[in-house]
Amino acid sequence: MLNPLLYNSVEKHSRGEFVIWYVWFEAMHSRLDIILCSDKEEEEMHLIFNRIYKEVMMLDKKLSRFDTASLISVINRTASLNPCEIDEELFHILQSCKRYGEKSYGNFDITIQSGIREQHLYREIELITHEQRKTAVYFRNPHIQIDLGGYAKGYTVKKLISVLKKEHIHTGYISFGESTIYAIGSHTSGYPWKTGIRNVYNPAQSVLELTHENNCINCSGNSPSHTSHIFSPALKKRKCNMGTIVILNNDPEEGEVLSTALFAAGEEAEYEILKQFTVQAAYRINYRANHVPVITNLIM
Amino acid sequence: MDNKLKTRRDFIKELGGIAGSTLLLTTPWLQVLATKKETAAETLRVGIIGTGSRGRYLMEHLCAISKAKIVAICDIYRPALDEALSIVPKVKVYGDYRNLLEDNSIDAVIIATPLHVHKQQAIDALEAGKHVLLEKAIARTPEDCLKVYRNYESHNQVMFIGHQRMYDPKYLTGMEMIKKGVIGNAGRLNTYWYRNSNWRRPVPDPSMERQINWRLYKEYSGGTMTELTCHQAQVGNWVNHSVPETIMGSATFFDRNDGRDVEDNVSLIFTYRNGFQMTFNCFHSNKFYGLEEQVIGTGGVMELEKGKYYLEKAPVRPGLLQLYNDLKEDWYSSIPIGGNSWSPEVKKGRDTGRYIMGKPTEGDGSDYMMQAFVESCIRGEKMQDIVEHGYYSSIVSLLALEAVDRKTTVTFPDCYKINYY
Repeated sequence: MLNPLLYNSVEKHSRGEFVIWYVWFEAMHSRLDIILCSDKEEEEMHLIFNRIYKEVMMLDKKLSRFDTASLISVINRTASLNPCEIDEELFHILQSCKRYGEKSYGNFDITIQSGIREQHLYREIELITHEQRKTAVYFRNPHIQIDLGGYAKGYTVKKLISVLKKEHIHTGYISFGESTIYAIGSHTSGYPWKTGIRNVYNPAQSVLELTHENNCINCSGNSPSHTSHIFSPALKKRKCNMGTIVILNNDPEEGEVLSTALFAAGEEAEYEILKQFTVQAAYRINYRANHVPVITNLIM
Repeated sequence: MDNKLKTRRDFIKELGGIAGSTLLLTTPWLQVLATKKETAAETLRVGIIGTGSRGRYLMEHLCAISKAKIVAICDIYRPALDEALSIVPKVKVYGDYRNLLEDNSIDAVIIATPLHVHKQQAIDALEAGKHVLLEKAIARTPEDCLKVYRNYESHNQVMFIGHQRMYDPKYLTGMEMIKKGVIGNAGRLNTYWYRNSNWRRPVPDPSMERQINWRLYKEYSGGTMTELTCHQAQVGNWVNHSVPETIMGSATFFDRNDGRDVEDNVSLIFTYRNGFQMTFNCFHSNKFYGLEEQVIGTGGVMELEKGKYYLEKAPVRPGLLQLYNDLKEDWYSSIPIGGNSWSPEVKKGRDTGRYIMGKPTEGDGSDYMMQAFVESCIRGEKMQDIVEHGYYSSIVSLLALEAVDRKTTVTFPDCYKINYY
């Protein structure tokens, strides 16, 4: 059974030999929408959804800064006092984030939310490996705050895809916060899935349409309701321009990092950053003063 | 008071354009505002019976309507007449409502008098061929309410009962949202009216105490129940589209023990079919919580007076729902889903709510109610349901009074049921 207290909505519809499932729940200060098409028995699908839920909630408890009891929140509060012991998974995540920071010339930076006054300070995160394979993280600067907002959704979706592959789910559509959208296999019609990218001024309208199959769309940017949540390490200020960076990539984790880094970096640095990553498509959507969208293909 | 006339077009606009037009067409008592007829050249000549504060409030609204003209006023209390004359100086003045009813230059009357005289005045007005807007409650006893209702049924004139919430855009839209399940299954209605006033008006001579402060004496009024609860009873019946099966309650004298015989501290429970419950609490010595009607559903809460609603969980996203629905039909289409990161529309424990009308609104529906009344009278078209709502809310509030007075649970008697609900 799927516990109705955990899931915001569970819907299913039988169509011929398979069933279409639509399940969504809130996680990481966002929402995860999962549409799966499968001929598996209902009980088996319940087990799969419960496994997904458990996996996502475990990551939420680890990575979400919006949960004051999460591991990342504990690290943010205590890692400048003493090295904070962390598990192997989080250690690897922080290592990956450091690598992505280097690949993006510092435009992807998980410590960027440490505060405007701290931008000129030393913000290095020290990752420590002890004997007996123990791992820890330590902040030299007490003001450091880690924010995995530009990473966690992509990482989570990547993990879920591997779970679903093991469960032999071949058709589905996963949206985490509508900014990380993975197409599993093709649409039931046999064509690739088609996803429209919303106009920030008119969300009912698409400004760009992408087809995708076994790959992920990642979006980052500002909209009228969220005007300045992305901080630019290079400019040392919040990005306030309306617009969206759209990346099509096989790897949801890398796609999310890249879309965040490109939006934070600005147009001048786009080319150099893109050279460091392998992507299938990349677009920048800007808006003129009269709200007319202008779309630029970044890998032409 | 802002006397700027709000038009039928304003009403449709406030209700939300096309959706508003649909709501107008599907709400029986709004039909007169839903359809357009050329009546601009016609004028409704109105007489006011009872020029106390409520009567004058309705007069102000009436003065803003170009199709209405107040031609006569009536009251037995001279100071009230004088205040009314400052609003409409050149009108006929009567001391006896029966003389006003004999005046053939009057098409319609507004009755805003003490409750105990409502029945006779309403029946006499209908008998005299006048259209009637009667302030709630309909009468002092259930039997008299039924008499007025039967009288209305046997006449062709228009009759309105003063339940302005039925014309308030935020209530109309909120009720439609409740019907559509926006807050899940509605299971409770918590209503309250906290005020800090002694309800007492200055009396020039002790002999006039009961005439002026009629609300404070059960001989003339049902007190809190008929003067206040009546509105919440109307909302409860509206939400449920039924009347309560049982009513229980308790009322005490807390802080206003000044010779009045209506209580100032009241708690009531109304039990409807399907387990729905409505509570009403009223305290006359503290206004902190004010007035509210909170509809509690399985998926959210709606505060009708404030015009806001709060959801337990974030609502479904339209794009993803469309994708799911398209898949059900094996339709292949492009749907705008992707975009900059979604953040919670409902933050756990911190939902500050959203406005039913999208923004805060002013007014309580009285202006539109008066317009609808004038237009109905000019057209001679009775509006469905409005008297029925008024009738049942009056009966429910009087049964609540009975429950409190007899200290018992009252079951809604079949003898007061009419062919409605």
